[in-house]
Amino acid sequence: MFEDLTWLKVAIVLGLSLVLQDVLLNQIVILGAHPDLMIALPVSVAIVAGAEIGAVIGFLAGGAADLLVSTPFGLSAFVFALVGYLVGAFVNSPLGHDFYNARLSGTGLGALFGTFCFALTAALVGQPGILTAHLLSVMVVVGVSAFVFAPGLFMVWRWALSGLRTLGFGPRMPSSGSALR
Amino acid sequence: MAMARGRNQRLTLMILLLISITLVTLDNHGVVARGIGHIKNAVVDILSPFQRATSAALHPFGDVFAGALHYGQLETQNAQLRAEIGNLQRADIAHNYALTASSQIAALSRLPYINIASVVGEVISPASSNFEQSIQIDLGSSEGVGPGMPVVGPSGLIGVIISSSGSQSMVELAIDARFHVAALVGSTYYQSTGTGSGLSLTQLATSGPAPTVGERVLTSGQDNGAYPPGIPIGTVTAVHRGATGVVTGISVSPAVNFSQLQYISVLQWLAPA
Repeated sequence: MFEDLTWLKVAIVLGLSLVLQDVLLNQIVILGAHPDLMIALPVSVAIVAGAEIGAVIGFLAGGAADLLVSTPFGLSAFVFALVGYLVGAFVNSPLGHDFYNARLSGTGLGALFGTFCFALTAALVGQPGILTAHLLSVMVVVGVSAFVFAPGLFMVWRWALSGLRTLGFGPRMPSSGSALR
Repeated sequence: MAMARGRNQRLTLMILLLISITLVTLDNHGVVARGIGHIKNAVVDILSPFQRATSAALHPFGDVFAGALHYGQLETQNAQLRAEIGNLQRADIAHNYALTASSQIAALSRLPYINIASVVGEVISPASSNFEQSIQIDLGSSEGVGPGMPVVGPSGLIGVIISSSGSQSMVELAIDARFHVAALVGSTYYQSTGTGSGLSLTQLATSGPAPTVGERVLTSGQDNGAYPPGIPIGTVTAVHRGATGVVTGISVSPAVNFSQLQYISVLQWLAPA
């Protein structure tokens, strides 16, 4: 799926994001919630590179995020992979054309959607105290912060996924399959 | 062509989801769960120096920020002292920070309500997830800290250690919805459960008087000795009753201010086998 160096670049992006999340972003608490860079990763990559890559990056980013929390290992990987796929599939659908054009706010909305999906899935597997009013403030903080992160993330993904043939930021991306060599 | 590509994408997604579900399932089983735990601990140990450095850098900044807010209030109330406060502000902040830290550590070293061997540590990071109430502390297995040990502050119960690496540990706070502790109000036994922002009590026996607002809630030591008895948990703030007068819920304000945790004490207490 990826060029040789692309894997290395993706690993660097994920590793640095994890460090940034754990060391800095977790300390920034607004309305009782902190920004979530890890959910913004699959959403942003899905917007620019499609559903399949969104799912793979989502799985890896979620797996990395799972290393730092006490919820069941694999839960974030499951949700992030699903969210990456759904966002990518939506962007590549006829309905998603405008979504791609508004990709900054799209990243925010996607992260907000991903946070809701995580909360719902966590509640379904028996995690208590997830579906409360606090979820609303978490969704707002994560959504707004993803919107802020989005320009930087698109630049990072352009660098990391430069091995993919047709990745670009001008006209709407073709489907993810054609982005592969 | 496009259909085949779509099938491949869905197949990739299905494989990833299956792997994730397998991981979630295996996380609940002995050997694999321990393996995952070791990997988690290794990652935590790698990140630990960065976390400590950031924490050390951000605590004074937070204090300066708080000092600036306080200065604004004083300015409104005491206009004539404004200039003097401005000149002394930096020195005051540094002095108060050192004084608060030393008094907290001193208080932790002579906890009035308990006489159990303990280790004093510092909070280095809040929760990594927006959906759990936990903190990272700078004490790990190398300091004799391990899962199951209660964590307290000068004013009461903070939580329990749920995982430990060599250099740091994760503490599940008493306000986390997964946290339960046997509690005592007056002479009646309850179970205290976190609600995310506070605590609630559930009566364990049908008999016994209902608590009154303002009564103190302590650990009872009844949960197989998981927590030593007598640690303050909080104060009853409301007793909710149904139409028939039956108590339907009891709200408790925690004894600890969880938004301002800095120094904590880990009780080296493990439940009797």
